[in-house]
Amino acid sequence: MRKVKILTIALAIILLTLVAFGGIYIQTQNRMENKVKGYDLGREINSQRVAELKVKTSDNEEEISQEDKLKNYETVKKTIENRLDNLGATDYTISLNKNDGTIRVELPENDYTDMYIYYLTADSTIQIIDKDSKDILIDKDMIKGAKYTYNVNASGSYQVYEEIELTDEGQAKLNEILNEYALLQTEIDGIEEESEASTESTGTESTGTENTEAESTTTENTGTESTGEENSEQTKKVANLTIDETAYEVSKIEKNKITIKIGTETSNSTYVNNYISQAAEIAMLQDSGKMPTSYELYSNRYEYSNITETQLMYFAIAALAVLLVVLIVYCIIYKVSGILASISFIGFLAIYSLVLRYANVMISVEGLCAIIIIILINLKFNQELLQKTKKLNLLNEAMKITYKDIYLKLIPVIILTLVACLTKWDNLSSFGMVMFWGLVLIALYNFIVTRTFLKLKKNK
Amino acid sequence: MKKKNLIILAIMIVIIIIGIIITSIFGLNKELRFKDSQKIDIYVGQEIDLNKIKNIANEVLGSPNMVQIIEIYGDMVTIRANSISTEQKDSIVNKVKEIYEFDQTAEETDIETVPATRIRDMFKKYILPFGIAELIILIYMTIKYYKNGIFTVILNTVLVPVICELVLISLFAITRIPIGIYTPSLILIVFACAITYVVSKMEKQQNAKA
Repeated sequence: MRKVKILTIALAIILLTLVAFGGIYIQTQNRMENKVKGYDLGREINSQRVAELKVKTSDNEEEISQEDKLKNYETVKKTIENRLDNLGATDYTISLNKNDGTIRVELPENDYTDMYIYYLTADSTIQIIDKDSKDILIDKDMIKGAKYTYNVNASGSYQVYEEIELTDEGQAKLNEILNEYALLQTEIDGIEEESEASTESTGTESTGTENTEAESTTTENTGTESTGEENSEQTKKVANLTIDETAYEVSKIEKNKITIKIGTETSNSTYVNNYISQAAEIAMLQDSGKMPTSYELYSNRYEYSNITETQLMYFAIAALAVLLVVLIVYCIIYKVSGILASISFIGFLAIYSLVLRYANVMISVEGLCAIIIIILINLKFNQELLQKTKKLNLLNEAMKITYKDIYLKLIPVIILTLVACLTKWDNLSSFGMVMFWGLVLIALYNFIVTRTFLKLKKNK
Repeated sequence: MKKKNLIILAIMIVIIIIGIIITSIFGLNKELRFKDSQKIDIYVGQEIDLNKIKNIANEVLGSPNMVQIIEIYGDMVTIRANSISTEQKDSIVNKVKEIYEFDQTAEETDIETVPATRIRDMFKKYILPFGIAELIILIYMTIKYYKNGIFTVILNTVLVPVICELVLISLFAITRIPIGIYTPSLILIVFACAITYVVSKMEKQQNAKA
């Protein structure tokens, strides 16, 4: 009966191994398709997107010294890094050609890659300009950052706002221009209303044939007829706050902060979401830093890894060969127990490979290194277990001591694993996840399978 | 400290010193993908056998070189080396033309410069997680093995992994093995081994005291 049990477990392990390493092929539309999930490979092993950004040629390029150019390139590189971080792209590599400013960005290929690439060169220039002459009154260098908020009123309508922070220099300049310009929407509306009213009155007073001429003269007349306060209001010019040349309504001006309205007040969720996305985009681009030099996307290519499948296969075969030698040594030293532990070990590898695939663990180079560490830990676990079982002749006691010895020593590694699991960076989180599932599986699998095997052998 | 351990420590310190000297003079050697290099892109317009192109690259450019298939349909190839001369470029394109039929000529093929990735950019993302992990490990070790002497525990927990990592990097510098995508994995393995060694040592000391 025990022989049958051992044989059944061994056959189950063989089946699992065949499924894990061979796959399950089912005919689908005249071709055989493997129904077992594939590995999710990291960008160094699988493929990545490579974007090359080049400096946009401008007329005033020669005016900038080489030192300043280099400084600007570095600033742009830093800004791009910040943008990618803010967008949640954690796995990327950026390099800068200091001679011509070319920036190369390597990104993993996923659903967000195109969005990341769009934001590498996206611009969001906030300026305050004279409405009529288009003179820049406050330029982008005087903007410190931006954040968005929204208000909901009793009727459930949303109004999205962008709070634009100014530098001290920007605030000083704002104070200066506010004496001469109207920036607040309420102020602008007042001026426009007055202007309209005066135009209307001019219309009634004028004879009609000399309309244009009369308009200008009556405007002057109205000005002289107004009170002193009205006069100062009317002489104020209008300034607009623009983002990428689109004017926005300014709803509030506070110290070092200008609040603008994004879109109109609405309860339509699609519009609200669009306005929030727009506001969030402006905030992200402003908070990521300045782009002192304009860049354009020169190339955007999908790049396969130079690590080929053949190379990975050779590596796996070499590792398996070494493993086989170790397992043979176990079989020689520990005889039947060694053989059973070796069969159990193969089952562990099969289940581990399935767990990694179905738990959606990404395998990066660091993940491959974690697989090696897990194999080594399991080998050590098996060796200690076999040794202690042989010595103590008490399986449960040997099991307990082995667990205590191995996992106690591994606590710092477990801490490193958990920290790595929580990081957002793909390479390190791959290491953490592979280690995590490996450590959990070693504990469970050896308790269920290896222990059962050794128990059956011992009873026999 | 035992004589054997002292000898090991002395060897490690010598390796680190040599490593520092070599790094300060020559710097660390980087893998081609992280170095300032040059590349040519060839649009073949059909499925490419990477090995055939790799053989051509090896023959014309020598080592190190990097051949990668690019674009989603895998019909373009990029060949990268430390430097590519016009003659080498012409030779590669003509040799590839002998295998595949395509329109792109050697004259139409540009040699482009690929900027280097700084070593600090390669490793900076490891610093914070490693720092947090090391801090938590330090707290755990101090609480668990305080009987061995807090100073000894802290010294071992901090110094052993640091020395081991320095030895590893020094070995990279001395042997001129390129720093590349495999280096962080080796650093992780060395860290895991070093910290496990410290735990074993502390455990032994605690058991001996008990």
